[in-house]
Amino acid sequence: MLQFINVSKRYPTGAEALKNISFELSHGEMAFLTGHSGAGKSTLLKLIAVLERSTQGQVLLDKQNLGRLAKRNVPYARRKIGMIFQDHRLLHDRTVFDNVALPLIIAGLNHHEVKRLVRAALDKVGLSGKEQRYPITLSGGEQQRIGIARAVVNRPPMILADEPTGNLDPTLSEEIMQLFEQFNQVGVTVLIASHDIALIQQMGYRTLQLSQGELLDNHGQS
Amino acid sequence: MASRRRNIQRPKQLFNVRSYLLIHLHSFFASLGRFSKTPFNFMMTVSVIAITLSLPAGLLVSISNLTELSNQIDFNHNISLFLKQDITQKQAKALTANLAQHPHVEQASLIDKEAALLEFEEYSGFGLAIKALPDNPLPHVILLTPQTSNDQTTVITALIAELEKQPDIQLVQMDMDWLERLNGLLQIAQRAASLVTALLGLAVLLIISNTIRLELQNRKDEIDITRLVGATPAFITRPFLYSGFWYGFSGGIIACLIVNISIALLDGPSSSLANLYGSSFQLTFMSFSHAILWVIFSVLLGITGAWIVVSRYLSELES
Repeated sequence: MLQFINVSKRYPTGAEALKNISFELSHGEMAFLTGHSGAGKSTLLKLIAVLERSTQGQVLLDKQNLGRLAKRNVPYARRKIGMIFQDHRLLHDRTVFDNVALPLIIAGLNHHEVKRLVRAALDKVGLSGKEQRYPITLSGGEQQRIGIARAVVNRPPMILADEPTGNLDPTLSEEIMQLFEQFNQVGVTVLIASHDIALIQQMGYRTLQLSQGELLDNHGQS
Repeated sequence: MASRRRNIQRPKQLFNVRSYLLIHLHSFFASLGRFSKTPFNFMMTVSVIAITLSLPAGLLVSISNLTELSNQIDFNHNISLFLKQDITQKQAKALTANLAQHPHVEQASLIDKEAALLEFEEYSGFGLAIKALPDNPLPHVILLTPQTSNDQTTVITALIAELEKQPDIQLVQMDMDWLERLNGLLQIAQRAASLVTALLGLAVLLIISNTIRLELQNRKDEIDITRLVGATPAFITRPFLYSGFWYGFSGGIIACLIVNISIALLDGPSSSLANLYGSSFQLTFMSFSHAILWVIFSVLLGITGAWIVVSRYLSELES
């Protein structure tokens, strides 16, 4: 599903964010990406979402070389990935329904289909009945669930999460992680960047550890 | 290469025209909805656009009014002959009859100085002042219409030279002179108006660009988020194009209203002035088709301004 081959990323300032990274995530795999802040976790995720391009090596998503993707095809590549952020990245002037519906509206689905898929996604994350609320009126954990519902609403083959539990207490964090496990169980490839080592170890999935741009540890199956 | 192409997921099956139109309709009204939240800001910008556009529009309408006025004036090359003061009415009549026989003259008519005075008294408003004069200060005037032929200018020039030698004639005045000058002035004015239109059009483009740039900055988060979930540049640009459309549309319509209201305010004084000259001239309003063209011009400026700003912003964003 996802393949990094000798990937390096150097910023124009000269800072080297990633050094010669190689790994592979197979279809339906779930893995964690750990490391201190500044280790290169965010950069690695940005390469997958084509928010940045690698300076060396290849990033392959579904055998497609993201580094060489033409600009006009970038949006379509992003639709294959559901992105989740620590700060949720919600539109606060729109209802929960509108927030979750955004990827579907962008894809040009008809109204009926949008309604059906949004309901299903909200149901999945346990937010049914709150469609017409505004994100600001919900708790932090609920807001993160809106973000997750938005990421999965168009049924992407892959989910990327950047510190999804960063602002949540342990119980809520565990619930969110369980949600990711559920998606993984239905065949979605999941990659979660997190520094919540205790929780990661408790869950026992493969872990990719980054340190100063280098891949240190690659626990679990490859 | 082939596999790369196959992998690009363009949502062809999912795409349909109806939902595409719905997206358009949605952004169309969404942009209106956003304005309704900050009506004061919107009206400020629209007013600036409207006032800026009303200046060249007003200028163009004034010119077309003046052109019409100059068209109303008889284009025959009339020559006025002002006779000397001591010429009697009898002599004047004889001269008129004489001139009418001239091979290059089509028509000659006498404006009797008594009749002219009466007319002047009636229309000028100087009636009392004129009555206080001991003598009639006006001379007899003969209006000549020259024979029109292919070689007009030389014939007329020759005719004028001949008339100027006549001892009874004080002054030969070609009515054409001032008409030509007026037309010359109108041409300059038209050129100037085009220049003003271009400059102020550019100003409107910049005003709208700047407004859209501010809106873009306010909605930076929204743009980032929609990009992340796979929005195409066209999808992101669309609402801003509609904002530009609304600015241009509203500004254009209000500009036309400003021009027509101004004409309505000027119409009263101008028609009484025209009456003074014995003309039934009335100011014409900006015509419907001109107004529509003007609004289209304004809308194009709005859309172009928005497009320039947003596409520049997005191309800087995407690596």
